[in-house]
Amino acid sequence: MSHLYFNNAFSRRPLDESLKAMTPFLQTEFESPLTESEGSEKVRQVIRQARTSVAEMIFAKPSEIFFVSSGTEANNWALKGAVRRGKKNHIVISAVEHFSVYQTAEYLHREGTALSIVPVNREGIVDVDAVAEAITTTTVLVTVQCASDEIGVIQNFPAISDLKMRFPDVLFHTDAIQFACYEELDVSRNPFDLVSLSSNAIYGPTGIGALYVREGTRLMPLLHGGMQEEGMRPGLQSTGLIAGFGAAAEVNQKSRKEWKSKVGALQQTLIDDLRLLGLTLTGSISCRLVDNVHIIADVDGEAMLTLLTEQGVRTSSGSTCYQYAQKESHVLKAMGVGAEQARGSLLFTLDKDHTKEDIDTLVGHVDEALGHLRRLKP
Amino acid sequence: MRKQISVHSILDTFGLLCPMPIIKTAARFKEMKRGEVLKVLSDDPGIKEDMPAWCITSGNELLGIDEIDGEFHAYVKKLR
Repeated sequence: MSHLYFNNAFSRRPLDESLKAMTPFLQTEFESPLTESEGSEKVRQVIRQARTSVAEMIFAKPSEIFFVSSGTEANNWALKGAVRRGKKNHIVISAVEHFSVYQTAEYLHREGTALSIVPVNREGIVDVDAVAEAITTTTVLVTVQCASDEIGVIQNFPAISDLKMRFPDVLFHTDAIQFACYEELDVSRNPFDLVSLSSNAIYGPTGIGALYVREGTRLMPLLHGGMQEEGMRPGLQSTGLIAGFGAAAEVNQKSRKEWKSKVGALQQTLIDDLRLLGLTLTGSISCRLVDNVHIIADVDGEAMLTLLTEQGVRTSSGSTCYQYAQKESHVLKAMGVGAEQARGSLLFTLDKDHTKEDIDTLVGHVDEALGHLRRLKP
Repeated sequence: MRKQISVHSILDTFGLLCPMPIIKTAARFKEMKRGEVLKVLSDDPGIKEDMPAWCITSGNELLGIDEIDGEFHAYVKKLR
């Protein structure tokens, strides 16, 4: 049975351009970039080019891009690297951050870092004034995502980054992992000090991400013992993955607008069709990623998932971590969604290659599953 | 504090352990002219041993290392 894949917030199929760029470095071009040979020079050139492509995607300098193993590592590094600078010991996060920010902040809090969690409104949007009010003289870092992986809500990140002008001694970080695929982030206009990026989230290979570190920003490395990435992220680089990331970044810059327009139209169709089935969108409609359709159904989300999976639809009930733990999402909780209501969560994330027919087929399966479960309700 | 030293370039190696501050110093020296002074900032005490040793082997001059609030400020003059 062929399947319909709507789990793109979790993993995307890498671009052919990425796979092509990667292949030589997984086969014959395996030399270390730190040695002196023709092969090493070739590896260095590819890493340089990829660094430039990733930098250009967010209007940064290549020297401000550090390759890491994932977006999760980038988020961990931003938070831990800032706190370990010492002297100041307070961080501010939003209540709807990805687990890799949220739990890292909780971990640091358990180790003694003061933590402020800024609430969101029912649409999932962070109040910028509340972020400013949370900042104290001991604050080392503020982190608010550009957009949520779970509910797709885009934050007012330009206003948050502008707080840097008022609080120049505080580091401002943003998780732009989901945002960067269809939207533009310009660090020359939005003065974040730190930005997390992921290759797979822009259709590159998994296992590679990047942290943008603005020139002059002091950040402690997570790892020690090597010269790679200027000593800031030691460990032999995976040239293949970096090449694939760079290729995805190049394609992203050329195709982002076209993808956004196409996926946005499909998203609107899906939202309209689901509304006809009595399902409404979670969070803001106007401030939203074009690929995210998160709904809360009036039936059990896990039961819906089972029925949809039987029909070949790959989707989820929200955050993977919570899905496995069968626990209420901290994001939905922060938006005032009750635990019982949250059990009806379903997340469809669209792909740039989806078609109107794919959406129609999905809606047909949702209609059928929903009807079945509604009939079973007491 | 060596206020009298005229510094031409500053290299911040905060967070990096030796030999990275030395490696970065050598790289920065390639962009500098003979006679110019580089101020190297580091929080690794290893710089107190590594920088004098590197200056001897590379033929450059260490003008001094200050310790300020747990940070080391090394002043190195490019001679070669």
